[in-house]
Amino acid sequence: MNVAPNNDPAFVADPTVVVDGVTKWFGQKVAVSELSCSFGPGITGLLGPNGAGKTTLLRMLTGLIRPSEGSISLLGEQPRLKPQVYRGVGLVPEENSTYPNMTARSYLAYAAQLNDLEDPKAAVDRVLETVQLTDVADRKLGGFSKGMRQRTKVAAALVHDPRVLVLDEPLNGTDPVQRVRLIDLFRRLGSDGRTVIVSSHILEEVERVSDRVIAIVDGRLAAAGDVGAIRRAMADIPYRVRVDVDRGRDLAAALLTDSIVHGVQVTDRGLVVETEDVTQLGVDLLPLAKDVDARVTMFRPEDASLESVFRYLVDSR
Amino acid sequence: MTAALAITGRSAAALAKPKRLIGFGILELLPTVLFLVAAAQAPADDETSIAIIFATSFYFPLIAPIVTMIVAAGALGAERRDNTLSFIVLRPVSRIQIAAAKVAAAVLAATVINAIGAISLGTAYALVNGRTNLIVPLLVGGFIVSACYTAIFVPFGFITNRAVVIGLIFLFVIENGVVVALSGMAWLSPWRIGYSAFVGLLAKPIVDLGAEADEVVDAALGSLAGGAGGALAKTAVLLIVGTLLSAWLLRKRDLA
Repeated sequence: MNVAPNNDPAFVADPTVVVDGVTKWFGQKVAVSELSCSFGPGITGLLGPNGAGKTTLLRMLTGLIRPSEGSISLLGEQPRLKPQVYRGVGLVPEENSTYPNMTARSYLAYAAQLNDLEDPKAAVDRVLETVQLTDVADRKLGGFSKGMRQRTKVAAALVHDPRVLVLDEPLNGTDPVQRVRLIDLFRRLGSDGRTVIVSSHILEEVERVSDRVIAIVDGRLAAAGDVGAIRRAMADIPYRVRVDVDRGRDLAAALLTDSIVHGVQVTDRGLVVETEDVTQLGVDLLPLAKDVDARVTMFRPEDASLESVFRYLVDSR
Repeated sequence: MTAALAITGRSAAALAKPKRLIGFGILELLPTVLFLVAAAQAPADDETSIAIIFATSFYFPLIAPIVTMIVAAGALGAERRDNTLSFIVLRPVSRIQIAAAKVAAAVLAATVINAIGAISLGTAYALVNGRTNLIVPLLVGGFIVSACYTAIFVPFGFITNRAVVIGLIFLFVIENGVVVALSGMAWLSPWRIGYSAFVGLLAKPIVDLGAEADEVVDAALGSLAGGAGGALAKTAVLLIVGTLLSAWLLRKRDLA
């Protein structure tokens, strides 16, 4: 196992989960590429656009799928070789992993039996209370809303009180009230010293849940660190802004005198402007256009999506 | 151990759920209905031959294998398709325990369903003939067919969604086609293992088969000899291999 490089924000000092040079192929497609990072106590957000490789990484972390290259250590063990490690691990998968014909209570009792708990009934009552499903515990899961099923899956992952909790898009389908409660629950679990890994493709969601973020795109590490560092890294990115204007060349010359403009490209419809501050560009643009007697008909950031931001971060690493 | 028992109980209940029991139960009654119709029209004392012929023609080579294939292929295959496999495998339970629990559940479910056919045919025979000596051989034979196909179709159903289709083609083309023509290949046919136990357990000379039934039995057995001991030994070997193979697949394959 490689030693974590000092001060590399992708690694933590006291890891419970270590990802070491992991690559995963599905046929010709690379889902995760040479990824190294680690997770420790507290909440870590795993952030990336859809298709970035988050679910593949989480499945490898828990031993559901095998890395094509590299290795993963979960609580010091390789999970596929030592199933006993699962006494300390809980997973909430993205897909619906419930049995529609079972009630919530029998589903959780089944989970408790599979973990060979001494007092399964007490454990089931505890987690039902935790996710606030006690009132509907004897209803069949097939009749549950998506949000209720999500909470049931969270309860099943918590029934054995695991040290490591892996949650794949756990807030999908939950209503705003439940979302706040689940986030509060995850925060409590993290502050208790558990390792909580939460994946999401929504930056604001990860920001609300976690203090530390690992961002991946195209299966590669894009950024790591606290949420503030990610925000700062994103702030340094030059954005591309499309400006439709009738006197493009004149306006381009004027824009190049503005210190926040990194470059201007003249197109058929006007300009594409590279800037580090889209908001300020919007403020500066109209007086400059007035000076050169140009008429602006559109002002639109071209690539402010999370995916393009992350792709930039990958390229700059 | 608690975990393995929980998997077996929960899986057996899912594999032999009420709707399935009713559907397969109707199919299982087919040889009995045909026997009753034929026995009503046949000369007296021909009931034994008729019962044997219907067991040989329908229960062992068709109904018991088809039911078992469908039941067993879902033991791990349905969990994989329904995304519920992670719920079971991400627990402190060894892969061999999971595999053994799944095989046990499928054997249990298939045996219960196939017992409907065995008991109904054996009981109908007893009602017509006054003898109850077909029930045990049919039950033992049905159990062995259930166990043999389960040992094959639990792992096979896990690796492909087309396990039942491929199994049906094998059943009709190889087992009930090629093996009938080339009796030396009878060892390729799992249902014949159960059938050989059934024939071995028929209490001769109490059961005096007619010439026609003898011919049907010999043709069905092919190169195999009747006998329950050998059949049970082969079944045990198949179950062990099927369980080990399932455990190996759970360990080696991606599970999501």
